[in-house]
Amino acid sequence: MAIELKGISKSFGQVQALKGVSAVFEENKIYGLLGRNGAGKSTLLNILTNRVFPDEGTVLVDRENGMENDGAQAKIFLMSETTLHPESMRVKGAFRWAKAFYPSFDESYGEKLLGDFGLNPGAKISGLSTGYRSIFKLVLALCVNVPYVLLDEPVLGLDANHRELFYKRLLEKYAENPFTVVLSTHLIEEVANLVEDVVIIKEGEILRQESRESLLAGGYTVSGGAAAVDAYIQGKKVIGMDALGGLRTAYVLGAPEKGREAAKDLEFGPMDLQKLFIQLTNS
Amino acid sequence: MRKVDFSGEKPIFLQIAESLEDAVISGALPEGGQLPSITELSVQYTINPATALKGINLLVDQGAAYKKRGVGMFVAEGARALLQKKRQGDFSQRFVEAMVSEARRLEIGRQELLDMVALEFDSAEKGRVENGD
Amino acid sequence: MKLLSSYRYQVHDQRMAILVFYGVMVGMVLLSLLFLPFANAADADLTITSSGITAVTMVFSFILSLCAFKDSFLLNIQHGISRRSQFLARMGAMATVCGAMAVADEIYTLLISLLSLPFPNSFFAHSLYEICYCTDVTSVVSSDFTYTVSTSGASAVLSIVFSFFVLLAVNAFGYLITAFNYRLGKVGKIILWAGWPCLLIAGSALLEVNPWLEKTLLSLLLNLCQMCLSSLPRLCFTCLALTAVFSGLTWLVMRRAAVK
Repeated sequence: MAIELKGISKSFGQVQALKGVSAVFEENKIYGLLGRNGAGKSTLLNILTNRVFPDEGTVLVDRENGMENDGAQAKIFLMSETTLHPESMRVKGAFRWAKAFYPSFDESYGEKLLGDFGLNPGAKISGLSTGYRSIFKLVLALCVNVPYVLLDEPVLGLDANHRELFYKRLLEKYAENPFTVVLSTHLIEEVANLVEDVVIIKEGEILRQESRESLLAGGYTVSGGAAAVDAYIQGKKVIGMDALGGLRTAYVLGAPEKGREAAKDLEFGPMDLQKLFIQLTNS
Repeated sequence: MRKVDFSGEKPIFLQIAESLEDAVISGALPEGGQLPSITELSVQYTINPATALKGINLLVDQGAAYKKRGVGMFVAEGARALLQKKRQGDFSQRFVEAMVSEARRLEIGRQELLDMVALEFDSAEKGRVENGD
Repeated sequence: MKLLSSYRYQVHDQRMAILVFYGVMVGMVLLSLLFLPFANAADADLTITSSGITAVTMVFSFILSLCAFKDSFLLNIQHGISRRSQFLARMGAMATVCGAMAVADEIYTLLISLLSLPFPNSFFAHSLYEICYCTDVTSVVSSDFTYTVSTSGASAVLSIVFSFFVLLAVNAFGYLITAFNYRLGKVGKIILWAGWPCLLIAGSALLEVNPWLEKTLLSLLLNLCQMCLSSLPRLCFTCLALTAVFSGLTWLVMRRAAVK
């Protein structure tokens, strides 16, 4: 059971947003879909959910064609940056329709979440601030109870308290009853420990798709005096470097060689997802 | 429970395991008592439940915890002694090594270091007695 | 299941506007009832006639259908409804809405006719069907346009049939326009909406300088109307054919519509 993308290409005019992308989102896993602005994250999610047609390629949802297929799409919910609800609709009206379209929608949990976030069910969608718009859509996404929940920039405009509350509610729900979550976000540090697998997309192509653990195990950091670090990294694949006064931290691919003479007085640490992401996607 | 430092050197599941071990050793989690659930751990630390499970499994592998089907994870009888023994084995490598290397860097002499340790040890002992511990 | 939800949404989407529309229409009648005593006292000749409310309903429902595509399309897509299901649900919703309005129009006409019993001089009403197909126009006398309209139980039912098919065609046309407009880019929209008035002006100018062409076109148009609209069955068939054509085109436009 999975969502599979096979050879998806999509252009908007002169801009090629996706170039033959293939990826798999397996059941009951939390994914981080990471990419810089304009890398093609949203286009990918829009194609998955039948909002936009690809120029080439197929989408399979549980081995079934996902395009123009009500049965397949009933298993997916995408919370997108753009709000697709009519502006004049009220929050509770949107809930009522969500229940009509998704029978598994949990209205009482929705009411509880609205209370937690302090969103008035009688509020009109047109009157919501960016943050509360995000909250409105997040609550919907947390209540639909479908196997695949896709979240495009879920915490846009949320303050730190609401962000934390959202992550906790998401994990609570996920831990009790797992489903597939795809988190597409710029705030990598916040989701770094949440995600199990990482999909990194760069300029319309998938750069990496693997578990966070194996991705991070592929490298390490080494820090210490500038001269010592420079000596150590000779001949190694260094993807980046931070310097602070005479101190230096190098981001190195491969396994650390702590036993070497040059490694004396150096500190070794694990690779940091955000750092790795920045280094991988810098062009 | 101890704060988990995500930017630290150790993988998170190890930190989770260590914080649970600390709680068992200190008695905060008594033998036979229930461990926090995967959900509780993952929500508290905002980490993936798989990571929390991995941390708990480290305790299970050592024989310090066991699973009751449908109920949850529990601290095994004798877990405290077991973990203490393990930590004692690690002690030199985890703490003394670092202390000595720092002392050498600061040019603190051998005797001076030993004296400091003795002084600290005595005052901790005294504090324990005063607290009626 | 999904199809039914989409149908329910699309009917619901138009319900409020329709209720308001008929609320205003009935409200106007009630208001005139209120003014009736004053008018009579002043010996003023106040008559309230309703000659084919369906003509008004046609305009209203055309505007309504112009607003029926974008919001509904986006909400349906958000809830995972395919374009095909949306289209099918729209066909059902359109038939439901037109049916309801056709019945409501007749009820309104009957309501005013009913008022003509106590106030024979102030109220009288005929449905658009009765005006179009039950009017005896032989009694047109010079400038005084007098006509007699025959009303019967059968004509009430036929009025509903008439209104239903006419509204269906109008709705299908409005929906096609708005769906097509959604698909167009910015430049396309400008060309379309600035283009057809220009074409109209150019066309009328062409006819002005070509009286022969004007005559031929006019007679052609008259013949066409005669052929398509001269009887109720013919009109129903014409409206149905138009609905089919408009809806077919709508599907072609809609099947590749993307979220923008």
